[in-house]
Amino acid sequence: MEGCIPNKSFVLSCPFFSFNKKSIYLFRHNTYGLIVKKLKYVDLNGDLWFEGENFSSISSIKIGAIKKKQVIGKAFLNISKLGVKWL
Amino acid sequence: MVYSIFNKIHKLNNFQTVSAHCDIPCKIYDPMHAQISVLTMIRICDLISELENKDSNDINDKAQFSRLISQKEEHGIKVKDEIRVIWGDYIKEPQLEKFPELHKLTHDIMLNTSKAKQEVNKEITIDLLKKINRFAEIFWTTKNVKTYKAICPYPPAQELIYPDLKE
Repeated sequence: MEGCIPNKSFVLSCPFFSFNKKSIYLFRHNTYGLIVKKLKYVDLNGDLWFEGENFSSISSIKIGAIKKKQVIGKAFLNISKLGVKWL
Repeated sequence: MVYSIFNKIHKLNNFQTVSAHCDIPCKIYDPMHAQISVLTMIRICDLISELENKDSNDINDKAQFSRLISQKEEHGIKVKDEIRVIWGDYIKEPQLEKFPELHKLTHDIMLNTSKAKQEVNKEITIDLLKKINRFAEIFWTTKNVKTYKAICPYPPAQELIYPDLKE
């Protein structure tokens, strides 16, 4: 079930960032709390649409449109038992 | 090394936890959901058959028929979802090497489920149960759990593969 970020690993994020497709961001979701997902696209309203890395991730539609102010950081490094990986 | 350093810092400072949020919790897989769903489909075939054999159908029977069909559809979708998640998330190279039939079996389950949804046909649905039982048998074998066959103690009283978790 694990995508590019293994379970119980550490994710380092930067609070200063630009929005790029396929980059991974941490954001506060009204239902799911603080979550980490990959940016799929930015719509015409400037809202962000995210997707998961694997089959059982919640869908973009379930996540819904995310406002830029909900995003708290861009993930750039993953530290897991498997090693250190740039995201 | 780096991980253990971060782990120690985490124990002292407690970093914020972020979730990747999957629809199902990690590492929890069980084919029983699919087995129960296909049993439900078989039971529905029986119930529809009972309705068909009635001399006359009043409005309540018609409403019941409609509910049964809708439930059969719903459980067919559940069968597909449950099998797809196990196949897509749990089954990996080691399991495929041991059981090369898994891809074809999963695809056959998808096709058979569609057929069982399209028709009210007990034989087709029992055939689907056999495939799902085989899938369950493989699943538990990959987890080194022994299985046994038993008739489920409720209608439609069909043979099911159960994990023997006592050992």
